[in-house]
Amino acid sequence: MGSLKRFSSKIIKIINLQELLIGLLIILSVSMVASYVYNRINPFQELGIYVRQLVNLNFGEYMPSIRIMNQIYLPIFPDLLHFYLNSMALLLAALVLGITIGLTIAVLLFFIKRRLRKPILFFNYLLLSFPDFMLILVLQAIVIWVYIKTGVKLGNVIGRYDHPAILLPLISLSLFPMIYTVRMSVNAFQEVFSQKYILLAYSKGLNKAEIIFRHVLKNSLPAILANLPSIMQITISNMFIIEILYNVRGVMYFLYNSGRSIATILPALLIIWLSYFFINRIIQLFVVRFKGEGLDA
Amino acid sequence: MRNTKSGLFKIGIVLLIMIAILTIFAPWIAPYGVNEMDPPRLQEDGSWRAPPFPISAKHLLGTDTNGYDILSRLLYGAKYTIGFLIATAILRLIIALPIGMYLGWSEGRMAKLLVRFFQVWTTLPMIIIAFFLLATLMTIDSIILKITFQAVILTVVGIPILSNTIHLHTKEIKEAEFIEGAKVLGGNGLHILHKHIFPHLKPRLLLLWIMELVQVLSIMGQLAIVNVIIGGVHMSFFNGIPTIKPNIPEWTALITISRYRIFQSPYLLLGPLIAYALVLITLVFISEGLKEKEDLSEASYELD
Repeated sequence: MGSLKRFSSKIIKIINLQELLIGLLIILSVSMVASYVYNRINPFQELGIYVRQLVNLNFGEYMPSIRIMNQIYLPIFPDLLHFYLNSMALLLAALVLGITIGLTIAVLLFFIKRRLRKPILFFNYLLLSFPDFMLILVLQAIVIWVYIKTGVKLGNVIGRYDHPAILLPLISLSLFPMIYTVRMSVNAFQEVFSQKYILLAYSKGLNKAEIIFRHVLKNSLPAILANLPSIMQITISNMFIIEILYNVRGVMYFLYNSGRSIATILPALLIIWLSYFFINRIIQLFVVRFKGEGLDA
Repeated sequence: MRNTKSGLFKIGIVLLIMIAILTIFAPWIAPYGVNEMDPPRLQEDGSWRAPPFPISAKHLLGTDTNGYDILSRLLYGAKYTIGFLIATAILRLIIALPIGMYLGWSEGRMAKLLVRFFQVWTTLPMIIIAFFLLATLMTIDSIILKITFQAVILTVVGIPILSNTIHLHTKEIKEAEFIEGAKVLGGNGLHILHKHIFPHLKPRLLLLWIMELVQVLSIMGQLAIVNVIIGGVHMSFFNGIPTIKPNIPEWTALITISRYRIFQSPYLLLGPLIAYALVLITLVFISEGLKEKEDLSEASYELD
């Protein structure tokens, strides 16, 4: 019984009603403004019509491409889920890839000389302040350049229906998590290295590899995990640019390309924000459990 | 450690002076006029070649699709891009500073709700909100009005995050003992904010402002990818083919134009990206130099 009560209170903590309502309000107003600019219909009227449609389980229609002259309309409901799954697969793959590689690089950095570490870390910091689109455009340009010069196709630069781009978007999207994780992990490792028990471990005769894997990695994990929400937030933001630059058929592509109305913008923005919101809350709970502290409401 | 960092700061300042000189003396430095076009050329084999022209001795960074020399456009455009950047970042700071200080100081319900609102706003991808809000300016014809509103919207979009940061800084200072002392001595809120908190906030403001510059620069570039250009463009038709000309010689417009040509002529990106990178590196170097005074290197028991 007690565990059930704990479980239900945990659920309530995950669903933070106030934040949910504020987010819904912002997203609703953004989609109403955007819809008004394009359609010049009273947005409140449009919202009323949309809500009435929703009651009848009609999710409205979208334009598959805004550029085709004779417009085709398709129902939003099953298609948006498809776009969403594409986005989420890309996002999760990029996060896992980026964070894994980032952590590996950070560990490797502690096995090289400290003198060599500094310039690498500075370069890493420099990359971190470069906006994503610059790195992506450089990546695209290099791939195209190599293709023009040598005829070797390193990856699909722009996706089509039958031939989606996978490798390059994944690499581009995982760049930020990787760079950020390197920085944060190195900071966390250094923090642990300044503790007295590291000195004790050394004096007991443990070698560096043992110390890093047994003490440093384990004790800095909560600090690294605490950065996950901000990594995810910026990665989602980068996804907007990446899906447009590579024609990846995800939610952001849907948002950008399928006509501007409340029926298209509201669900797309909401679905992406809600998934961020819940993953974020769950991570928070886990990190808090790691640290053994109470959740601040 | 200390030496390298202050060295970076010096490099940053040198780069800053260089950018300032290039921006101010652009009309004398630039090899071509701002609206000087290189017309389509007759090639040796008798066929015509239309712009964009590749990188050559004549055009050091090539020309864009309109035949404008990219190097000249970058030099002329620097004052617009950097001016817009500085204006937006200052506007953000001026508005966010009182809001952030109020949020950090006040413990009322209204302040708490506002903090919550700002926190949620921060979790939404800023680029998407900016994109949809900037689309409201589509119908404005006046260029100056358009640029003004673009700056205002980019300010509004960034205020919540900056206010939140300032709010956290204020809170941190508020915890200090001397504030408690000032309160005991009977200083009222406004007096303490003005005389005790603001002086401690002031040294951090320059750093915050530089961070805002980096942030605005990156969002301007991201918006260029989704075809939102500072100052707008006008489209004209030449033999039924649409040609897009930016209203002002601005950097982000060059990114938009060259990104559509990435398959045919990837080298077009070289110019705008170098310019962007130069400004960014300058800002990063200076901000690193400023940070150096604050953090103290901590002890480490790491052995090689």
